[in-house]
Amino acid sequence: MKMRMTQIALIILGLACVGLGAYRGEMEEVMRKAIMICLECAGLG
Amino acid sequence: MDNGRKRKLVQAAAALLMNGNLPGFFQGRIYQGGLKKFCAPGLNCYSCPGALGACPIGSLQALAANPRTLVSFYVCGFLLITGVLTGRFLCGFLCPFGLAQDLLYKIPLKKWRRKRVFRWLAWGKYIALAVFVAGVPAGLALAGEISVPVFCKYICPAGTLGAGIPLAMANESIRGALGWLFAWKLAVLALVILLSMKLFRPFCRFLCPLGALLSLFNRVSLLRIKTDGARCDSCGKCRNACRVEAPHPDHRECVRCGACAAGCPKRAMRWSIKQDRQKQ
Repeated sequence: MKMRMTQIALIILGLACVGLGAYRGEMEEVMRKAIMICLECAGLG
Repeated sequence: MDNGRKRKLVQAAAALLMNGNLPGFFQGRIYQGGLKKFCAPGLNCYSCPGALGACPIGSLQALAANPRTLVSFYVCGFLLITGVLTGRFLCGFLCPFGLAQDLLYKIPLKKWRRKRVFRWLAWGKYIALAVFVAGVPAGLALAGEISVPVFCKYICPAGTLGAGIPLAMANESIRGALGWLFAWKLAVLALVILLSMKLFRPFCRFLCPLGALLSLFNRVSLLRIKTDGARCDSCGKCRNACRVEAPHPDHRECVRCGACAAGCPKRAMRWSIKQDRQKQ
């Protein structure tokens, strides 16, 4: 029971974090980075 | 169908779903649609021409470059939810780079197993997470310097395999811009490929920061591999079947591949989301 409550609390915390991140515009920030070729990832510099 | 085959099918389907922009591989261009807002459930470089989502580790570093979003609530929340739901199931069943290592491990060579040094090397992934993903990019941003995604730039072999090589093959301007960094990343990838033929999932076990993050949830995740104490006769075959040498399925090193459950002659281990006390 204690474990189940911990899981539920962590999932609620996770959802709150996702919501807060979305509110702060982090999804758009991720999108901005992800739609351009990342020179570092590709090994260009 | 046995566990290994089922797992390969799920892994292949996940890799295809995460990299569904197949024309991108021929055009040397990446997908730029709205799905890129969402994190992919695995180490899948967002500069891979096929990638439909964003790599959570790349996103963490990209957001750490901005002092306003030093710690990304969005990405951390995503990892928290996936970690609590499944633990390292993502590593075992969904990560495309995990699939690549699994296939390399199938090459029939004498394997390295049960070496004490592996236990020490396993801490490397936590160092990679703390230093290269979080520490250096955030430190540079806080110091007012231009932040660098150190892990992606100098280490990530998934980026070289999924983004660097396909883009260089299909895009002439990228091919012309390759230099020492690409050579370094190719060397890292070559090392990981060679090691993957000799030991199971070296990158996941020793270097992957995503695995490091998800490993923190193995003990509390909803989806677990449970042992039926009434059936288990402690023969130890599950431990011998484990290729990451985890002492039990809740251990941080377990990638949830299910080899222990498949190797149990008494069928005492099973996937479950139920809560109950169990014998390990």
